[in-house]
Formats: sequence, structure tokens, C-alpha cells
Amino acid sequence: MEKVNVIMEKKMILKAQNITKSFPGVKALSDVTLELYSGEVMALVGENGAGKSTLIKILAGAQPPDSGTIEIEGNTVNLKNPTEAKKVGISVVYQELTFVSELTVAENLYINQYGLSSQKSISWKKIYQMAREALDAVGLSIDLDKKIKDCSVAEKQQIEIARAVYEKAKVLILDEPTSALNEQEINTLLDLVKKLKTLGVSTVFISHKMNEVFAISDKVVVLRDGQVITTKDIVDTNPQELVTSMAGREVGDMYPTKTNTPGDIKMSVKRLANEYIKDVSFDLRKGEILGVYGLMGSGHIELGLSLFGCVKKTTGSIQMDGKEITLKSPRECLSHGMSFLPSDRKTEGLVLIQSVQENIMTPYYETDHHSKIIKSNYEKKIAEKWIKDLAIKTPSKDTKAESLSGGNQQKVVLAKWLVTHPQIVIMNEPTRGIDVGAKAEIYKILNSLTEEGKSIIMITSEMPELMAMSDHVIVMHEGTVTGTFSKEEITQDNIMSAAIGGLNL
Amino acid sequence: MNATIKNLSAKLKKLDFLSLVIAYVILFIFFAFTTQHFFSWSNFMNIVLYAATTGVLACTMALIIVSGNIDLSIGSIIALSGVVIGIILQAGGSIWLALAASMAVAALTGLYNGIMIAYVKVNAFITTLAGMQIFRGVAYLISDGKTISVASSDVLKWIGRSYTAEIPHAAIIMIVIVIIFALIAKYLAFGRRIFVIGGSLNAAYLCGINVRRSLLQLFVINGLVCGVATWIYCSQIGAAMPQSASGIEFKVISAVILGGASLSGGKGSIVGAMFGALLLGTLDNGMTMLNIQTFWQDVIIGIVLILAVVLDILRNKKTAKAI
Repeated sequence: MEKVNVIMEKKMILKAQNITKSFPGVKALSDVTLELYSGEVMALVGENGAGKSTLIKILAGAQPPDSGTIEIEGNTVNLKNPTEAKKVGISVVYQELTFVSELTVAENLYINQYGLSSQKSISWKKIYQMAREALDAVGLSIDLDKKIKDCSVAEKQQIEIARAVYEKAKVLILDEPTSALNEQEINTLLDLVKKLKTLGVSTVFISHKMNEVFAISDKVVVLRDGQVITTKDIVDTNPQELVTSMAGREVGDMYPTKTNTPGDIKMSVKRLANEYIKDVSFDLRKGEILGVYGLMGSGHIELGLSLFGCVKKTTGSIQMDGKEITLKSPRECLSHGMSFLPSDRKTEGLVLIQSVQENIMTPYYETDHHSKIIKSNYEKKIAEKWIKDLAIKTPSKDTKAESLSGGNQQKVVLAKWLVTHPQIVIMNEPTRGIDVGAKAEIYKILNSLTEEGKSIIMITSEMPELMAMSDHVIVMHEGTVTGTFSKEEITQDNIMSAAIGGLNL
Repeated sequence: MNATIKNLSAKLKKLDFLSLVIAYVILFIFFAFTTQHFFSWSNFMNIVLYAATTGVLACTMALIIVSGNIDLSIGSIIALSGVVIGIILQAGGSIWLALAASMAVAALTGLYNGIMIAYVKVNAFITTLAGMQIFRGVAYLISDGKTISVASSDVLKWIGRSYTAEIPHAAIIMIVIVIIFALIAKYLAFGRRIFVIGGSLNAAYLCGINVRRSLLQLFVINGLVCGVATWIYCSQIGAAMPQSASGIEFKVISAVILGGASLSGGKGSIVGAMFGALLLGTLDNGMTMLNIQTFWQDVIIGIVLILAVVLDILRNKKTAKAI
């Protein structure tokens, strides 16, 4: 009976047509067209960097498209900002949720009314009345007096959804809603999405997890390299087919021919575990690039932080050159000849207001065998050597790091570590946000480092660079290693299957 | 010739405390023309003598502000370690013991501040706000609220009130300390670490910098510098009093900010901070000569401080646009 109702009322709610968006150096979206009907759940899948985030931002009014149109119930809308998008009924539940954590559930449900110009004084009765209505409408019961900071991630999500529905959202976009939830919470969320269907609210559901996609979606859209690869009714497809269309891509020619020969084992990690990762084991050889791949939230980023002493291990052991070592702090890792390129070079890799030279020289003084007295001439010589060797484009060594382009900033981060003569370099997203030309140069540098016998752990969310540069790959999913592949076994299907935790539903 | 001028002007433009130097020159010329006794060697030395305590304290305050922290307790540290000098002298102890003990007490307060801020991770503002109360309270307790004269000590007199070749010793001490800290900031890894910590705490940690130890060292060194400032201060006042140096932290912080430092950390200069202290001293001196009421002097100093910061914001906007 209910089902018949939904089908009978099926009308077009959202239509995005020929959406195109470019950023310097990348085409994030090209000619993307989507149709969403009332009460429909559409799954949006694709690997990291496929364009999902950009698409959401455009639908949420956070970024304007370069071209293309968005229609809501047949009317073309111009989404200048998120408020405008909300007004026409598009609401996004972000991964980082948007609440005031010191206020109660009730106040947070009501919070958007504070901005209304008609709102002059506060009626607590009204706040509670509205809050209760909002939760009742979607069948939730959460203590209204609880502070947001005491709520679980799942509860926050439910509150956000209730708020959006109360504010008459027609389209709800859930951006990887289940990545931080446990099994029971996931089930509650999926039930909530089904409930939204009966209320006629449409959902765009972004997820890496095939079982969820197949559990609640009506149709699925696969994005790859900013294009819609396929749109299918869920009954007409299967996980294997989706994975193949998510991954299938040609590897470009920005990668150098690898000329390294992996040698003996340099570092051996056994059953490493902490609050983010479980039971991670791998061997790292001299002169090789070990690729670490994972989808958002899989723990691959945290593995890098754990290996550099930023997150302490609770169990497990690490051997370097056959000797047991501990990794208690970055300082200690540095003394073992390790170094680390963080994923966010602007806040973690560099001091932006300092000069290129000062940045390059920072870790140098933290190694044990260097004098702690600064010799200007020597510094100048080292800085100039690395600027030349890595072809860093900067007006001078005294230029502040903030005025360099992303690619050159990344080279400065690389340089500051190479000054310490590391034997192992851990890289977190080494080419994130830098243009194609600079990427190619960085790959060339990586290749020459392995030629010198240095070992690289390259943690990346970019499939093409993983495939082209790695000698050996481990894939993570939900904090554990779900696949270890030798050079010959590195295929897109192998990696993607491991990254989504296997194809068995 | 042309090239050297160009070079010099390029260097000047890069100077973080350029607006301060310009303001200082203008102020100097203004006072030189409007007052009778301003432009004389003995008056200049007067200004430096007057600014010496602030100038000494500004050295480590500059580094603390560069590291992204602050110390509000320095006035109370001076009061406490000053009272220690007074009590020891009164009990018949030697001046050397008194000086050493005051230095030790100052260093201990710094150690306490440092442990709280770096290891217990209490916010520096809160830690030193509490320290400000605690140290001064202890100074009142151990002195019973009384003023103890220390004017009879020749050693103290030598430190703060004597001259060699018409240059006050306090001025020499200040210059030496400024030079030491300017060198530390530029030529020791320790100084560089402070700038990195203030510029980006995450980057500092990931570079292997021992952030906690560096901050602890900084606050202990600040305690030692407060000890030196105590000697000069007690000498100049001629007495040890629990109410000594109250409010000096604001003058010192003003000097550091005038010297081009940013309260958000990562940016600042020792020499600039010294110029800031001199500017405040000159302003005081000149305004007194012009017979400007003390109440007005406070207002004017406040205006100068806010003007300096606004000018810097405007200048930074311009360079940001140029890039």
C-alpha cells in the first residue's frame, strides 16, 4: 500500500544538468547530469577525487558551477550560498557536523530560527515545542536537555536530519554518514532514511560500503574523474559491476619509468594496533615504495601518524634493521632516520610566515649529531642546494613559504626532510592539491630517492599514483589491512575490492 | 651608491618594526623642538636608565609572545624576588647572597610557570594571571607588607644608579642582554624553535621539536631575566616593596607589540622590543617635560600602542595585495 503511494506520487524533485566545474589544473566535474524523484534514495559512489565532494558543494550552494543548471521541481534555481540552497529545500548532513556543542539538543534543533529577522525574544516553550515536533516527525527520541557535546556521532546525525526535515528539506544529502558509526547505529540510520522515503523526502546517499548501497538505494550513480560513468536502478546491477566502473581508468604518462631495485627488509611492522588501527603488519624494503591505500576513514591516514609517533601504539612491535624500536614521538622517529610529509602542508608541513630557508632548516637542528648553533653561510649553502636540486621555484631562499605555489611548497617540505638524510620517508598524500606538472616532478624525485636506497611509505587516496609508483601495496579498510599486493598483483579491481572490505555482502 | 641605497631601503621595508622606527624618529624630532632640555646627552641617558627595566624584560617577553604565549606575572615576580633581597639584607646577610637568592626565586617562579604551561597545559594567560596573584601575595606575606630599604648597598647602587663614562650601568646591562637575546633568537636552534612553535605548533611537533621542553626552558630563562630586572628595579627605587613593579607587564607587552610582535605568535623581534621600550620611555620623558598631566600621558600611550598596531595591519594588507 505504502509502496504504491510512493510510486504514484513520483515526481521530479531535483534535476542537475550538465554541471561542469574546473579548478586550476583539474577538471573536477564535467557535464554531470542527475535526476532525483520524490522519496527516492540515490546512492552516489566513486573513489576519492572522483568529484563527489565538489558535486555536493555545488548542490549545497557552497560553490558555484562553471556551467550547468539546477532545477528544483522544474524551476531553475541559482544557489548563491548554503542558505539559499536550504531555502529551496536542499540540505546537507556533513561529515563534520555543524552544531554548537555547549548548547542543548533542543536549542540546536531550534538554532536556525535565531537568524530569522522576526525573532526578537526567546520563548523557551516554543523552543521545546519545535524541538519535540522535529524529533517526533522522524520518529526519534533523544533527551532534549542533553548538551550536544554529550551526544554520540549517531545522535548528532539524527538531530541534523530531524532539523533538516523540520525545515522542509526536499532533498537530503548524506555525505558518508556511516563512516563513524557502529553496526547498530548504522541500522538505525538506514531505518531513518527509509522513514524519510515515506515522508516524500529524497536522499542522496554517499557511501563506500556496498552493502549499505544495496540495502537502501533505489538507484546508483557512479562518478569517476568528474564524469557520470553509469546510472543504474539498483535491481539492475551488482557490487562487482559497480567496483569495475568505479576503478576503470587509464594511467596517464606523468609517471617516470621506475628504475629502483628493492633490497633487504628495512623495517618490519608486526600487529600494530591503537585506537585507530587494528593488527597492521607489513615489511618495508630498502629502495622501495610501499603504497598504502584506503578510502576515507579506513585508518590509512592514521597509520602514517602512528608510524611517526604522533599516535601511540597500544600493542604490536616495530623492527628496524632487525632491531626492536619504539616510536614514541616524532623526535624519536627522526633519530631513527625517519621523516614524515603530512597531508596538510599549510598547517603541518610548513611555517607559512617563515622563509623557504628557515623552513628547510627546521628539522636539521633536531637531529642528534648536528650543532645547535646556526651558521648563516652554511644554512644558505644547504638551502640553495636543495632549491636547485628539487627545482623549487621561488624568487629567493628568503621568500616566505606562503607566497609559493602548492607544488613548490610541497617540495620545500620534502627538502626540509631530505636535509636530515632520512632512510625512511613516510608521505601522507604527497601530491594532494598540486597541479599535474608539479606532480610529475615529485614522482621523479620519489623515484630517485628509491634509487638511492631510501624507503618510502606512500599513503595515498589517489589510485593512479598508487598503481604507477608502488612496488608493493597494502590496502586498509576499517582500520585493518584487507589486502597486501605485490607489484604483479596491483590491479584496480584487486585494490578497490580490498578497499571496500571485500565483495561478500 | 644608488645600489646601496636601494639595498638599504629594501632591507628597511622588510623590517617588522618599521612603523616604530618612523614613529620614534618623528617623536624625537618633535620633543627636540618643543622642549628645552630634551636634546641633551644626560637626558638621553635618563631615558635609557628609565627604560632599562622594561627593555630587559621585553627581551624574553618578546620570545614568549613569539611562542604564542604570554606572561602577566613578571611584575609580581620582581616584587617577590625584590622582597627576598630586602629580607636577606635586613637579616644581615651579604648582598651577594641576597642577589643569588633573588635570582633563584625568580628562576623558580619561571620554572613553575613553565611546568604549568608546557606540561600541565594550562593556558599561559590563566597560569600567569594566577601567578600574578600568587607571587605578589607571597611577597606581601613574607615582607608582612612592609617596605625594606636597600639604598645602603653599594653593589645595588653600582647596578642601577652608577655611571661609567657618562653611561649608566643599567643601560649597559640592558644593551648586553638585548644583544645576547638577539643572538639567541638568530643563531641558536633554541631561538629558532621558539619561532617555529609560535608559527605552527603542529609543524614544530612534526619536525621533531620537543615543544614542551623548549617552552619550559623559555619560561625559566624569563625567570632569570626577571631576576636581573629585579636588581635594576630595587636599585633604582632603593627599596624592596611587595607593591613593586605593579602593572609593569602591560608596559613590557606594549613594548613588544610596538616592536612588531603579533599576539598570535610566530612573529616578533628582540631589537624591536627594545626600541618599543625606548619609545615608551621617551614618550614619558618628553611628555613630562611638556608638563602634560599624567592622566593624559596614559591616554596618549594607549593611543600610540593602538595606532602602531593599526598601521601594521594596514601595511600587511598592502603587502598581501602586492603578492
